[in-house]
Amino acid sequence: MKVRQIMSQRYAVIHPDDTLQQARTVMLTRNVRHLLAIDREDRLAGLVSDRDIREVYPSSLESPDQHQEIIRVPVHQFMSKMVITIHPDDDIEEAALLLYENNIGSLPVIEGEEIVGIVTMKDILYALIELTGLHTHGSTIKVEVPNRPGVLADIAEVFKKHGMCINSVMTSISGPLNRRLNFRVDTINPRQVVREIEEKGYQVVWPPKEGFYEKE
Amino acid sequence: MKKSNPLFIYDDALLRYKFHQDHPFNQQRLKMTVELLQTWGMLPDSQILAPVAATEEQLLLNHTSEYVKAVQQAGHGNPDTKEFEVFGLGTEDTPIFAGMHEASSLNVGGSILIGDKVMTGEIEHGINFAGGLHHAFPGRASGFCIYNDVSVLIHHLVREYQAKVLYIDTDAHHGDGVETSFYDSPDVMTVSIHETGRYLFPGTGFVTDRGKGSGYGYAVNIPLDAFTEDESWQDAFVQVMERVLNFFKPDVIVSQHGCDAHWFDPLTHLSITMDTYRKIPQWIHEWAHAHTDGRWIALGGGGYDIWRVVPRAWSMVWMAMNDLPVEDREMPKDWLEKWQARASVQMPASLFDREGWFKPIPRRKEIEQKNRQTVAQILRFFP
Ligand SMILES: [Zn+2]
Ligand SMILES: [Zn+2]
Repeated sequence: MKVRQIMSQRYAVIHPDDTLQQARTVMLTRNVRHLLAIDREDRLAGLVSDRDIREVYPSSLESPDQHQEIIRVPVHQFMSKMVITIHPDDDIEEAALLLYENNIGSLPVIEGEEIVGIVTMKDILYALIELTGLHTHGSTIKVEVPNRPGVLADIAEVFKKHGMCINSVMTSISGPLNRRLNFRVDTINPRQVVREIEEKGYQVVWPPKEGFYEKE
Repeated sequence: MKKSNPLFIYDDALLRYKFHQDHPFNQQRLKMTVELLQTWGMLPDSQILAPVAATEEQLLLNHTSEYVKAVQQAGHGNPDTKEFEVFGLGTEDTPIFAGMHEASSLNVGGSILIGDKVMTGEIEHGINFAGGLHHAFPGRASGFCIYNDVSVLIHHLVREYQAKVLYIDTDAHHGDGVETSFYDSPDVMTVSIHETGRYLFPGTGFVTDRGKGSGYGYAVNIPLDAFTEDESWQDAFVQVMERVLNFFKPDVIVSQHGCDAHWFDPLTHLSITMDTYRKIPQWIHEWAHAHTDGRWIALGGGGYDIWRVVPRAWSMVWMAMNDLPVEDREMPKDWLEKWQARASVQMPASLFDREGWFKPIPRRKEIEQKNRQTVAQILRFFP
């Protein structure tokens, strides 16, 4: 999935010479948490986040005079100028990593010289939910496997044999040598496939073993 | 006018709803339940009623004509499975079998027959354990269900009697097919208590799924954690149902009595016991007399340990419905001997589950707490 597919093209803008008060008003009325600061040449000059605003906005302890002074501070004085941007044809995994590693909430999307959109943490979350198939239906089967070639194909073969549709599959790291595979499979009765996956030597973590809670 | 005693739908023809010998959905459980009740002298012939097949027109109240046609064709001749796959037919869950349309229509007809007798006032309550096939969708079979007798019945009740219907689904799986049929209707309130769809089939039925359009607020889902056990299950059910009955004024209750949430059931993990299966029908019976002038239609549903669970659980629904005392008793010797000879496991000798049959659950406190939080969230949605 590409950034272009999930970015928002309706981003909110502010001019670097506008004031803190104006920036705050735009954020509230547009109901967004990030503003792109754009100069007269339509180039990206900076980024203002709700966090930036909170940090400089006067508290109620300040005198009315101080208050008036602070809310007139121009945007270029508190916006982030070292903006990390992304290209619309980058993968969303790339966007997710940039947000995660730099502890930021959004990335302006730049194509050549042009600003084409913004991608936020929320967009990434939605996309990841789609990608991982967290929202898909079926029975969940979790398998702990060694991280070596052919494992996924080996297990997929079992579902194929039983004509069962895999609605989604997700991999997570489970220790240095292992992976945890999380399948959503279109069946009410996963018992036989579970048995066959176990016969191939893999450890099925969910569903629990039949009769495991019965007393002998 | 005194109404007649409750009626019980049964006919050997209902056993024709059979996918194949090794399929987990096994209607032998109907016969076992009937024979058990007969052995105990609780089910005289005068209370048994044979079903009449639903008409195609009735099926179309819930199903698309393409789907009904596909079911008819699949069950006759030598079908190419590929062609039926889009209808969910010919899968491992819902294999094709000869006469599947006729067998499924009989299930649906049984539910409608009880519905008519309850609505015309001939009887107060009645049961069709061959029904309760809550997973089927208008155009697709799912989870062992071909036609959705529940949805057809409820459409029929709304259309013929302008009834407001309260549907209560205690099967371990989410009653997705029925919920979908009435998701935008304020005349039908659906309540489903089930093992969370995060893991269990069909993977739906979350707290925030509350209906849509004018039906918003008329669907309620109680997704519980795996290994919930009796106490937490019962707490959640009663708390939510009290609010439901306070909010919705039904003319009739339709209940689905899938008993696949039991410890022994091979497909689910809610770990409840006969204690809950004794109480569910008693509560619903009380609610029917308190809220719907007694009008109550009970249906079957899931239940995949036919040896150790289904006949015991379903016999208690019938006892509650007939005001028979539901107390622990030995299973009848002859009945036990007959079925034990075919069973793959040791069948229990008593109606109730006994202390020490199951291992204790290690994370009980955590699970109870999570379920309480789920219930609190559900209750916050009520006006
Ligand atoms: Zn079920
Ligand atoms: Zn009664």
